[in-house]
This record gives sequence, C-alpha cells and structure tokens, in this order.
Amino acid sequence: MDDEVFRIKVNKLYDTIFRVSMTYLKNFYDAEDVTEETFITYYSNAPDFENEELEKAWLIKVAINKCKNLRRCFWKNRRDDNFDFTTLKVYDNEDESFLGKIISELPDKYRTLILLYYYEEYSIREISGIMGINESTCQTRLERARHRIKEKINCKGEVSLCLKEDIKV
Amino acid sequence: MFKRRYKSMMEKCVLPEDEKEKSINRIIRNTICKDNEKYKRNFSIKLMISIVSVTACVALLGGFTVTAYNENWLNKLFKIEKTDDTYANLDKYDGVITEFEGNLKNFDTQLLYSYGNGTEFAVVVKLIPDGSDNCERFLEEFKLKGTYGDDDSMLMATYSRISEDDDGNYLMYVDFIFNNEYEKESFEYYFLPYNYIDELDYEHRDELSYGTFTMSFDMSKAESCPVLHTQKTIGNKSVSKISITPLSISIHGMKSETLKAKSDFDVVLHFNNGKKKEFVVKDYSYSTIKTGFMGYMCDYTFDEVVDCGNISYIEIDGCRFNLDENAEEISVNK
Repeated sequence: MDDEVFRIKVNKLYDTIFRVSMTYLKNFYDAEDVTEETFITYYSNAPDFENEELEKAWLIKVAINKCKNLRRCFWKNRRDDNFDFTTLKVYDNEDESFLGKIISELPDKYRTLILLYYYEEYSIREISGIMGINESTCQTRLERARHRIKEKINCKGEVSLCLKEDIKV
Repeated sequence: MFKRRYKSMMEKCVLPEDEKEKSINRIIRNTICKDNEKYKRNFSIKLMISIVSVTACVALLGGFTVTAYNENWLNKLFKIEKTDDTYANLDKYDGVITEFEGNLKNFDTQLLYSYGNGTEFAVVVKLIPDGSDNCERFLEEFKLKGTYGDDDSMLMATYSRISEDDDGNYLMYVDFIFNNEYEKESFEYYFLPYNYIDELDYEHRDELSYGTFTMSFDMSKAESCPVLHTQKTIGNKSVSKISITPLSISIHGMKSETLKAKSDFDVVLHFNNGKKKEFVVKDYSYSTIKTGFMGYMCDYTFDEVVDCGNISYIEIDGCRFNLDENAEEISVNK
C-alpha cells in the first residue's frame, strides 16, 4: 500500500473508527488502542475494495470485532472503566450530557446500532452486514433502542427529543 | 431532532487534537516505519553476523575467555520504590448466586463456591468426568484456550481456568463481569471452544458449545466474600490498581510502561492468624504487545481459594497495603 495514501486514509477515518470503538468500549484509552490496531490490521492486510464506502464499512467491522475481542480478555474485566459520558467536558449543555448518559447506559448492541444508523447514516441493510446480524434483528433492535431512549427521556419529562424518524431500508 | 442532537453530541466524542496526532504517529510508526526498518534490520542482522563471526575467530585464535553474561543489572534498573503505608478500600460483595444448574456434556457438575459484588461474580465448580474421550478433549481445549459465553447483552467478560484436585476431580473457576447491575433473572453461560469465537455464529452456538451453566443471582443477600481494590500507586510507577478476589490477584497499570519494565512482583498475603502466603505475580502483557504500545496488568491465580476476608495486609515488592477498619466486619462464606 502506498504510504501517502495510507496516511491520508488514517487521517480521514480516524475519528470514525475511534467513535465506533468508544461507543463500544466506553473508555478513551481502549478506544484509542483499538483504533490504532484497526489501522495496523488494515495496513498489514492491505485489502482491495471496490469503493471507499466498502472500505469504511470493513474498517468499522474490524474495529467492532477488536472491541469484542478486547472485552473478552480477562484482564480487561479486572479494570474499572465504566466510563460516564456525562463526564465528557466537551458537551456544551445539559441536553447533550443527558443524552450521552442515556446512550451510554444502553447495551452494546443498541449503542453501536444507534451510532451506525444515526451518525454514520448507514441503512439497516448495511448495518446488518457490518454487524453480522439479520436485517429483521437489526430493525427490532433499533426499535427497542428507540423505545428505551424514549422511555428515559419521558421519565425526565423532556419530550422534545423526537424519535419518530422512519427506518430506512 | 434526536438525530441532530445525537450527531452534535457524537461530533465531540473524539480524541483531543494532540492526542490524536500522537496516536496517528504511533500507527505510522508501527506500519510504514516498521516496514522501512525491516530492510535496515535485515542489513543490520547480516552485518552483526559478519562481526560475530570475525570476533569468534579472533577469540578462538587468541584464546580469550568469554565472561558469562550477567543479568543482575537488569533487575537493578527496575526496582519499585518503597513508599509509606497505603490504605486500600475494602468493598463487600453484595450478592450471591442462588440457583445453579450445570449442563456440561460428559461431566457431572457441583457448585462449590460462589462470590459476587453486584456486577462481578465468580463460581468454583467441581467437574466429575464420566471417563469418556470427550472429557479429555474438553479439558485440553479449556486449559489451552479457555472458553467464552455470553447472552449478547449483559455479560461483559469472563475469565476461566481449570485445576485438578487430589481426588482426580477438576475444579473450574469462572469469573463473570456484567455490563450493569444485574437484574434478578437467570443467566446462561455457554462453554464454547475459544478457537470458534472469531467466526462464531451466535445463532448456532448451542451446536458448538460443550454445555451451559444457568445461574440466578440475588442481590438482597448482602453477605459473602470481600474483594479488595485500591487506587494507590506503588512508588512512582504507574501501577493504578490492585485487586484481589478469593481466586486471584491482579496488579494493574493503565497504559503502563511499568509492566513492560518490571517482569514480576513479589507478593505476600499476611493473614490475621499470622499465616503468610508468598508468591510471585508475573508479567502478563496484553496480547497486542506485538504492536508495541500496550501492556496492562499482571495476574496471578491462586492454587486454592484464598480466605481474603482474613487478610490483615498485603505486601507487594516491600510496599505494605493495609486493609481499613471495616475488614474486621467481613466474613467469608463458602
């Protein structure tokens, strides 16, 4: 792989992979490590892709797998790293901190799905490919995730966060 | 609306610029630079071989005596400094496993001990093999590669190992870490050969597994075994936490150079009855050490269940970690 091309790709996709890892692991240090490892794997394997979207999806998938592997490691389970999104100093307002907290409390399978669907704007079909689950499972999980978020928002009496967007397939 | 807010929130979920730059530099160093170094290294190796050959010839001819290589200087380099006494917090486990059903192929199972602290549980299970070849296979797979099980949502991680007792039975230790405070419902743990994990199809895990354990937890029963945590450091080294359970002790170092530098820790558990248990906790680096930038913790699994409710203090490389006054209130239930 051309060195300069690789550098550009790392710069371009670093934040995306970091976000996926962070969403999954809820720990800055681990997310950083997984991101680095993902790119090292990419460089070592040098896979060919038809287009940039497939390449990005591949990287996300590798990152998710690495996150899963990391969480299965027994030394990982000995550490205290229940990261609280509300402690992120970067959030400007209470709404964002609150939303961050709600999202961080969701199970992994929902968190990653929410990120891929709402932030990366992948379709259900694409997400099912990336996460290795059926489209219907994907759709059900998205519904459940929305339901949980909605419930928590309603608990706080803040119904302004509208979640009635249609699922695009 | 949600999408906009979520996006705005996630936009900020990135590393600070300087950290990101450092991280990208590490990636470049471990990929592009490494490739370039390979060429240099090959050349260096050839050069070294030539030099060694010439030196060996000279030594032989001249009758020089080669002095044995002394490794002691390495130990001197990485001494952990002693500090004043540091105090650790002692947390009570606050839950126990109330129901347990083991369904392992070719084994009878019997729950011997269980411990829990809200999100972290451990069980010790006696395995009684039926003598078939499958038992050996399971044990070999388990000992070599460990197993893995989860239910997709609640389990964060597990660690397991098997040891053999004097009667020829096998004791299996399994730690479970859950994502969040466990709700009172039963949990199923699959024993899957580790080598299937990467390509694991969750829909078919029943076919791949050696069996399952089903457990229920009860948080209201707030008595069991203590677990010790501390955020104190040893000397100026970046050891961030020491945790001890009846099954194992771990010494942690977040992004630590310490664990790479120091290969082992001398640990002594001092019990209230004056007894001591001494052992060495060896370096246990994270598997991605090959990429050169990780190294988390040392871990030691006890050869027997340790009555850690009766530990008066722990000594690690000469540093003394006292338990606080609550220690007296804690008892161990087996």
